[in-house]
Amino acid sequence: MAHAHHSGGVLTMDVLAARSGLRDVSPALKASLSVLSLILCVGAADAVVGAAVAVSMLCTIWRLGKVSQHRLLHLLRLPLVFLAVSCVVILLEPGEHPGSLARLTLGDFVLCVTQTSLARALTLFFQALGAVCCLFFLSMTTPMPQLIELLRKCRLPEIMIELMYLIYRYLFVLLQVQRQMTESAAARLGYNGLRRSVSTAGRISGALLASSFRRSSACYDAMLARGYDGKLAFLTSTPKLRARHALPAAGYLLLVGVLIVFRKRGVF
Amino acid sequence: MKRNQTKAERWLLRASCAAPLLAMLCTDASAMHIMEGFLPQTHAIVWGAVCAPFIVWGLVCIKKIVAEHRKAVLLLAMMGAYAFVLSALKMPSVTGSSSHPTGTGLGAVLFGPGPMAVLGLIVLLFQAILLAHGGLTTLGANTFSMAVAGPFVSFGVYRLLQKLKVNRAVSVGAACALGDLFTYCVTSVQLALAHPGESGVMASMAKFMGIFALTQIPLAIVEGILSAVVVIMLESFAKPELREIGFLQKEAAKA
Repeated sequence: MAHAHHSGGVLTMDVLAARSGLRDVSPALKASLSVLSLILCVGAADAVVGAAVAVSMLCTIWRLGKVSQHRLLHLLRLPLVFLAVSCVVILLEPGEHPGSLARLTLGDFVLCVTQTSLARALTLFFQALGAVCCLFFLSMTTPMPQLIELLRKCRLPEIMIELMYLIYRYLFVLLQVQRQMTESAAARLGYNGLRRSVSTAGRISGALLASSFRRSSACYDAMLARGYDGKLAFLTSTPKLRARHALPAAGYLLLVGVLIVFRKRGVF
Repeated sequence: MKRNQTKAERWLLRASCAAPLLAMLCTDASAMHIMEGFLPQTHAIVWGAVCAPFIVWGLVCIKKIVAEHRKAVLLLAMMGAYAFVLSALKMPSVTGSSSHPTGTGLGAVLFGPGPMAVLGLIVLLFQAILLAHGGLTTLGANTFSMAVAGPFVSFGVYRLLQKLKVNRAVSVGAACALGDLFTYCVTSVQLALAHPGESGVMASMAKFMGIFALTQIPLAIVEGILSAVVVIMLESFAKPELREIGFLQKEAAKA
């Protein structure tokens, strides 16, 4: 029931992860590759490194993860717009600056683009883009249950793991209920005008919380009936770590490291 | 030279006018989450460290609650899933694009700020991985603003208003709206500290706040109203559950 709708709706990434071409690769390897390149990318704070990581990660997701180009670009569009806006904010410096590249006067308020702000905005744009692509790699190749299992191996408190599993399961249930409620409210013109929209949204969220509380009672009764004594056990199968997967990953990280060293030494 | 400058000026004017509009367009998905890779490494680590005591304290709180009654685990999980789903809720906003509430304020009012810190961390992690809202390196900063600072303010305001014998729906609404606003202030401060620019942290903060204010002030008010409606509905539909988590009992004992 959990994956009833195939397009995934809000959770497109989850569906993509379950279908990924890299789903047989050890989740520990994928997570460490993603997180290490993330750290390298953010730590380097360099436009070229960021761009290289972004391009390589996207290519990996596309070629090895078997996510269609169209899907990938569609998912990437949103962070791109947000990034562009945030970088415009960084780009514009309030007040007069000597040697500014461009200036803009709004009444007695002056905004400038300076050499440093331009460099900073560019660096930040590519650094964040690279980081987003690393995150995309993780979310589009690793199903959440495997990731939670990995966190359990990292000795996270058991109660937190339990909560994560439960929240993940309930997400699908609640999302479906929420979608049904929103659709039927929209069909009854519940989103007609601002006033009515606010009251509809409020009623939906209220009904959703009330029904989810009730559902959790029913769930608890069902668990008790099946002999729940304070420990939840979930079945997961974790793919094994293989050398033919680990070596290319290590090689990739090494390449990124070399690129960073080159950039810091000013080779190019 | 002069003509050149006016050309650049015109271009800049257009760009800067577009910035808030674009910001409004895209806030629907990224509300107040700081994006992946947007904070320098040291900031990411420091904000993560700042959150650590709150998370540990929250875990202790949850352990205590769960030891008292096991069922609470499911209620907490439902609250977490609910906070996640709220971000997918179609919400009216002034600009026509939809924005989403955080739901952490409501959770803090119902469960207290401690458990909410842990739930918020989990929800933010899920949002980062499943929706690409926020990110792994910015998890600490986002947790601090949305799961620690906001809920604490909401909880404090709610308690204060209850002491002053204000109507419950009104106090919940005010608590959630103020928590939302505080979250957005903290986010602005975090961004300003990370990217102060040449004119200092204060100017940079004003810049970020100005952009966020366009969407966040109406959104905070809407979230306040929504939370009040939710609590009114819960009171009529889910009384036994509310009593179970101690939301109603506390008030009954005091009165």
